[in-house]
Amino acid sequence: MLAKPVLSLEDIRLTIDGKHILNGCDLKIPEGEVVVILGPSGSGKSTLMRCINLLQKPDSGRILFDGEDILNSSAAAPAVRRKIGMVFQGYDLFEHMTVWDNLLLAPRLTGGAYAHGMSERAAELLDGIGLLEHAGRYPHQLSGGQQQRVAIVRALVMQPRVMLFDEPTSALDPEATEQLQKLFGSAALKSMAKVVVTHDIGFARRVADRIVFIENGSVIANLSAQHFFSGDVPDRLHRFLTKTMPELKLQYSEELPSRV
Amino acid sequence: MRLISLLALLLTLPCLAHAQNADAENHNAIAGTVTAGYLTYGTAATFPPFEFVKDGSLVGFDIDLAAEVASRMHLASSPVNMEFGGLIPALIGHRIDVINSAMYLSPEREGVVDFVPYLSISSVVLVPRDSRLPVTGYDLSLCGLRVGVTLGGIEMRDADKATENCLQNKKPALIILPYPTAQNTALNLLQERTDAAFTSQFGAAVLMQEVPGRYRVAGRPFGTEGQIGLAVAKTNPELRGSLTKAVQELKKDGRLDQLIKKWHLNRGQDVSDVEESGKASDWWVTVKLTLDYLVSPPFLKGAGITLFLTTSSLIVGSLIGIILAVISGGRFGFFRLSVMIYLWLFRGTPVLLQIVFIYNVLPLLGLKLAALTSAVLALSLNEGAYMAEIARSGLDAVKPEQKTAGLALGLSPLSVFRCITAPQAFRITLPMLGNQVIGLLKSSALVSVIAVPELLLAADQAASANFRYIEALSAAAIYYLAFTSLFMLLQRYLEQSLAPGKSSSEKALHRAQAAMESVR
Repeated sequence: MLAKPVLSLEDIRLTIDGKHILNGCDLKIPEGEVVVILGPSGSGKSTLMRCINLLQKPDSGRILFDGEDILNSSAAAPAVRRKIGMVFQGYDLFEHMTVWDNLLLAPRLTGGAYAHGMSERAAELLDGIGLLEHAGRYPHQLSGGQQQRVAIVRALVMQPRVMLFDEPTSALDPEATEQLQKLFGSAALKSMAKVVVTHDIGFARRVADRIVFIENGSVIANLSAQHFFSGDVPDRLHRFLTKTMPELKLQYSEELPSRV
Repeated sequence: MRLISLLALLLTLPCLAHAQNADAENHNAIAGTVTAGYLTYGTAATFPPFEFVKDGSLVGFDIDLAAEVASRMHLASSPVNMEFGGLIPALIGHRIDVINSAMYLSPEREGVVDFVPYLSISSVVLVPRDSRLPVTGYDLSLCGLRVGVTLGGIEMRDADKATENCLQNKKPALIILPYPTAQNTALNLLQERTDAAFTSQFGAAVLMQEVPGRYRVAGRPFGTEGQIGLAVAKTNPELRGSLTKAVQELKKDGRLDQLIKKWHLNRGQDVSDVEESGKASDWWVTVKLTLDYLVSPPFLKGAGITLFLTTSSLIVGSLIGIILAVISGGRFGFFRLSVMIYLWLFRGTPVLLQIVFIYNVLPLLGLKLAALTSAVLALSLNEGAYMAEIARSGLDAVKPEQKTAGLALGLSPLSVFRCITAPQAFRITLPMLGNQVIGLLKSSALVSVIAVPELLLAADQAASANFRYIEALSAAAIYYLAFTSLFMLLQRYLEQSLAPGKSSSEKALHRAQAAMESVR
C-alpha cells in the first residue's frame, strides 16, 4: 500500500567519462515516508540523490515532482531546489556567517513567501533543536552534530516538500546519531518525505520505511524496511546483499540466527 | 556600499575634466596644431632660468619666449609640463606641437626632430667651492676625474671630447656620470659623488644665486657652438617655417634681447663674480618650508591626484581582476587563452613602459587619450593583471562545497557568488590586497613621465626651483606615509569587520531571541 509519490524518478541514466554511473534507476518517494538508499561505496547512490535536486543532470530519464517533469521542463533549477532541502555529508554551513545568518540567507535573498515570517520560523526551529542560544555562533564554534542540526534547520526554513540527507551519520558519535533519529520523528520533519543515502545499516533500520538497494548504478531491491530487514528475501538477493554489504550479515543474524 | 558608489562617481570625473580638451581636439585637422588656436608646447620645468615652477606657476625665459612666438603666429601658448625624457616621445606622438625646453641641438636629436635655434649657449666647469682638486677649467686637469653631466644634454658631448683630448695626451679618461636633470648633476656634485660637473653658463649663474657659497666655476666658459632651439616634428615643415619666421622677427626687433636681459641670461658671461650671500639653512627653516610645502597648492593638488590615481586604478583594476578570474576559471578556451596573454603582457613588462606606451605610442595607432586617462588606464591594466591572480587564488581557496550548499538552497549562481564565494574569497585575499594598494600608491609616482602633476612631480619641480630637496621630498614623503597609514587602517578595519566577531555574534543572538519572543 503505497502513499501517493511526491517524487518519482524514471529510468535515470548517467554516463561520465565513458563510465556508466546510473543505469536506468526507478524510484518513488511516497509522501511522508523515509526512503533509505543503501549500497556499497561507488554504487551511484549519492549521484542519484544529487540528480533529484538537479545538482547533477542525468543524460536521460524523467523526474516527476508532484506530477511535473522537472528535468525536462522550463522551470529554473533554483525554483525546483527551493522545494527540495538537502543536508550534505560535511554539513557545509557558510563559514563566514553566524548560525542565524546561515538560516536566513536563502529566504532573505529569495524573498516573497520564502521571506515571509522567516525570522519566527528560524527561531522556532532553532529552539526546537535546542540551539537558540547558539544563534550568534560561527560554524567552527559548533560540534559536528550541532552543525548538522543547523544545516537541517537551514533547509527547513525554506519549507521544502522533501528533504535529502547524504550520509548523515558518517561523522556522528552514537549520541548525536540518536539525536538525529529523534529529529526525524519531530514535528518539523515527521510528515515530510525524506530520502537518506547511507551505509549505516543500523541507522537505516531505525528510521527507514522503505529500503532501496543500489549496486553498480542499478536498483537491486526496493522493499519495505520491515521486509528488507526480516531477512526473508529471495535466496539470490540474500546472498548478493550479504556479499556486497557484509554488515548486513549481522543484521540478518540477529533476526534469524539459524541462517548463519 | 556607499563608499563604492562614491568611488564609482570619482571614476567618471576624468571624463568630465577632459571633455573640454576633447572638444578642442576635434578641430585638429583644420588648424594644424594639436589644439586649435593654441601653440601647445612641452617643457620640463626643472631648468631655471629657462623653465621652472615658482609659487605654483610656470615661469622662465622659454615660457616668455613661447608666448611671444605664439602671439606672432596669432596663437595662444599652452604649456604641458613633463619629464625631459618624455618630450620627444610626446612630440612624435602628436601630444604637443613644439618642444620648448632649452633643448640643445645634437646630431642624434636632429635625426628625429627638426630644430628652430634661438640662442647660443656656452658651458662651464662647476666644482664645489672648497674643492682641493686642481681643476683649472675645460682642459687636461679634468683627466681621470668623476664628471657629472646631464643625460642627453650637450654636456655629454663635451665630456666625450674632453676624454678624447686626455687620451691623446696619454692621460686617463674622464669618468662620466650622467644624471637625469641639471639639478641632479648639481646636487651630486655637492654630495661629492662627482669631482666636477658640466653645466650651462646660465644654469651655473642661477645655481650660485639660489645656493650661495657652495659652488664655483673653474676656468672660462667653453663650447660656444652650443645652441638651443625649439623642436618640431619632421612631419610638420609648415610649423617649422612659421616658427623660424617668428624667431627671426623677435631677433630683429630686439624683443629677444629684452627677454635675455629680463632673465639675466647675459649675466652668465661672468659667473665667477657672484658673491657669497645669505647663510646656510638651519633646521627651523627646513621644518617651516616643509610645512609650507605641505599646504601649498601644487602639493595639495599632487596629493589629490596621487590619491585619485590610486583609488580609481584600484577599483578598475579590481573589476578587471575579478572578471578575468571568473573567466579564466570557466571552460571557454578562447577566453582563457586571451586572459593568459593579457597576464603575460602586463606582468611581463615594466609599468613605466606600459604608461609611456599608452600615452605616446597609442596615438600613432589612432587612439589618443588625455594624460590622466592614460595614467589611470595604464595603472588599472597593470593592476588588473595582478588582481586577477589574487582573485583567482582567493576564489580557489573557497571550498567548492560552500557553493554547492548555496545552490542546493535554491540560490541563483549570481547570488551564490555575491553572498557566499566572493565574501569568503575577499576575506582570504585581504592581506594581499593591502600589499597591492600600497604598491599601487607608490607606482602612481611613475606617471610623472607623462606630465600628470602628481605628488612626486610636484616635489621634483618645487625642489628644482630652489634646490630645497630635503624639504620638498620630505613633504611628499609625509603625504605618501599618511596615505599608506590610511590604507593600512582601512585594511585592519575591514579585516576586523569581516572576521567572525563578537559584535556580529551578539547582534545575531539578539535577533534570534527577539524573533523567538514574538513566536511565544
